[in-house]
Amino acid sequence: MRIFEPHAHMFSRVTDDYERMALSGIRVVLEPAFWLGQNRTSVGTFIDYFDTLLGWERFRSEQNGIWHLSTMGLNPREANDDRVNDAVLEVLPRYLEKDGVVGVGEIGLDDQTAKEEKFFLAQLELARVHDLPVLVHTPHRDKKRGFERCIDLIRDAGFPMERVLLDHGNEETIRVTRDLGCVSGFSIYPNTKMDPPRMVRLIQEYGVEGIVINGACDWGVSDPLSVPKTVLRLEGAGIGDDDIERLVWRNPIDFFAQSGRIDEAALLQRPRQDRSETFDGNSMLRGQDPATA
Amino acid sequence: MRRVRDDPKALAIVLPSLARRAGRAELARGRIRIGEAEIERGAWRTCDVAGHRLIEACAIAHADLDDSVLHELFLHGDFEERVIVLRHVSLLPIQSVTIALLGEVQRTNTAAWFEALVCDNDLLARAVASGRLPRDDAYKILLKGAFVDLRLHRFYGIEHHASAELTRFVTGLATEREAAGRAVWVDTNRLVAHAPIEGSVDRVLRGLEDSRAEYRHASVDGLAVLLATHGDARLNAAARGAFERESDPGLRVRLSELI
Ligand SMILES: [Zn+2]
Repeated sequence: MRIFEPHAHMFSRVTDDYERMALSGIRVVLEPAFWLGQNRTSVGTFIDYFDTLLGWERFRSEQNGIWHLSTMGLNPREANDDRVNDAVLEVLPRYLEKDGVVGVGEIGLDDQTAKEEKFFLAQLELARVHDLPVLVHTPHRDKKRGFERCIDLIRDAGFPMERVLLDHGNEETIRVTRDLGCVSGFSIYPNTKMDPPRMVRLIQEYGVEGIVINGACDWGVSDPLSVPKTVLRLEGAGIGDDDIERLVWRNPIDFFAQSGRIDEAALLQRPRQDRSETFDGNSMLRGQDPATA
Repeated sequence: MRRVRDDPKALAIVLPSLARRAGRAELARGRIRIGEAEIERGAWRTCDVAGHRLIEACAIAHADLDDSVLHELFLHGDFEERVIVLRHVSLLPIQSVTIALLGEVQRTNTAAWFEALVCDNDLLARAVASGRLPRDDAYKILLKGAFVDLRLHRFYGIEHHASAELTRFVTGLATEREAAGRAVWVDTNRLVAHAPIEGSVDRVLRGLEDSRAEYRHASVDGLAVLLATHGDARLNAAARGAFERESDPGLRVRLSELI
C-alpha cells in the first residue's frame, strides 16, 4: 500500500526511522512546523528551524526515498510566548511561499488562551492571503471543548471548512466534525490516545470519507510506523483496498493539493537517492562508502 | 514587479514562488555578454531570468538596496532561490556580496549552487582581475571544481590567471589521485601548461601517450601552450612523435598544426 503520512516531526527522528518508513510503504511525509519540546527564546531559532525543514530535513528524507513536504506556522504553545510570537508571524509570509510548503500549520489551540486564539486567527488570515489550507492542532486536554472552540473561530473568521484539517481527533470529536465539510485527522499513538484497534472500529463505523490518519511522531513516545501498522489492521478487518488507499493516499493528497503545490505524478516517482550527494557540505554517509551504505 | 519596486522586503516573499510560477525551462544555448559578464545562456532557466529581472528592478528602484539584502536572500533561500540569487550575482560587477557568496559556495558541496555562481561564466576570472578576491581563494574554488570533476572550460578565462601556486594545487590533487589509483582530473595537463613547475612538462608529455583520448586531448592542448611559451627541440620532437602515434582523427589534425 502506498502511504502519504500527513503528520510526522522527522526533525526529532533518526535516520533508521526513515528507512523503516520507506520499507513500510510510506512514500511522502508531511512535516508540520511545531514545538520542539522546549520553548525557544528568539525568532532566529524559528528561522533556522524553518530553513532546516526545507533544507536538510527534506534532503535527508529524499535520500531515503521519501518525498518531504511541510506546513509552516507558529504552534499554539509558543503563541503564548511574547519573546517570539509577533516576530515569527512577521517572518511567516516568506516561508509560506516556499516550494513544498503546502499549508499553514500546526496552528490551533493548546491551553485555549486568548493569545492562542489571537494568533490562530492571524494565521487563518495568512492562509487566506497565501491561498493555503490549514492543519489545526487541537488540545489534548479538554479536547471536546477545544474542538468546538476551534470550529467556532474558523466559522467566525469565514474560513472555508473544506480547507481545514482538524487533527488529533477521537471517537467523540468525529461526531462533531463529520458533517462540517472539513477533513478529520486521527493521530495514532502506541499507548495513549487513539490506537490502531480503535481506529479500525472508527473506520468501520464512519467509513473513510473526509478522514486522514497519521502517526504524529515526534520527540516523545510515538511511532513513525503507526499508519502502516493501522493499514495492516484495517486489511485484517476486511476493509477493502480501495477504501484503505483513499484513507492513506488519496484523502491527504486531495486535501493538501488545495495548495496548488502538489504534483501527484512526481510523488508517484521515487526521489533520487544518490547517497554520495551532499547537502551544504554534509552527506549522510559519515565516511562510509556510498556503495555499501 | 511592482511589489518589489514598492518594497524591497517583498523580494523575500516573491522569490520562493518564482520557480513554480516562471518555470524551470532552460534557455537556448549561446555564449553572451551582459554588462561586464560573459555567460552561457543555456545554463540559465526561465525562473533564473525572472529572478534576475525582479532583483534588478528592485535595485534600480532602491538605490540603498545593499549587498546585505542579496546575502540574506541567499542565506534563507531554499534550493531554487539560492540558485536564482547566485545567477543574478554572477552578472554583477565584483562587489562585496560576490566575495561573500564565493565564500558560501566554497563551503557548500551542493553542486547546483557552486555551479550557479562560478560555472559557465567568467565570474571567477573577473573576481581575480578585480583584485578583490585573493588569488589563493580563487585557486581553492577552482580546485574544488576539479575535485568534483567540473571541466576547466566552464570557468571562462581562469587559465589566464594561472600561476605556479595553482599548478602546485592541481598537481597535488593529481598525484594524490594517482597514488590512490583513482582517475585524475581530466583537465590537469591543460591547466598546468599555463604555469609549469618542475615536473609539469614531463607530466604533459607523458599524457600524450595516455590510452584515453580525452586525456591525450588535454595533453595536446597543454603541449600547444608549452610550445607557444617555452618551445624547444624536446617539445617539437614530442609533438612529432605524438602525431606519428595518434589514431584519433581530430587529434591528428590538431597535432599537425603544432609540428
Ligand atoms: Zn504535531
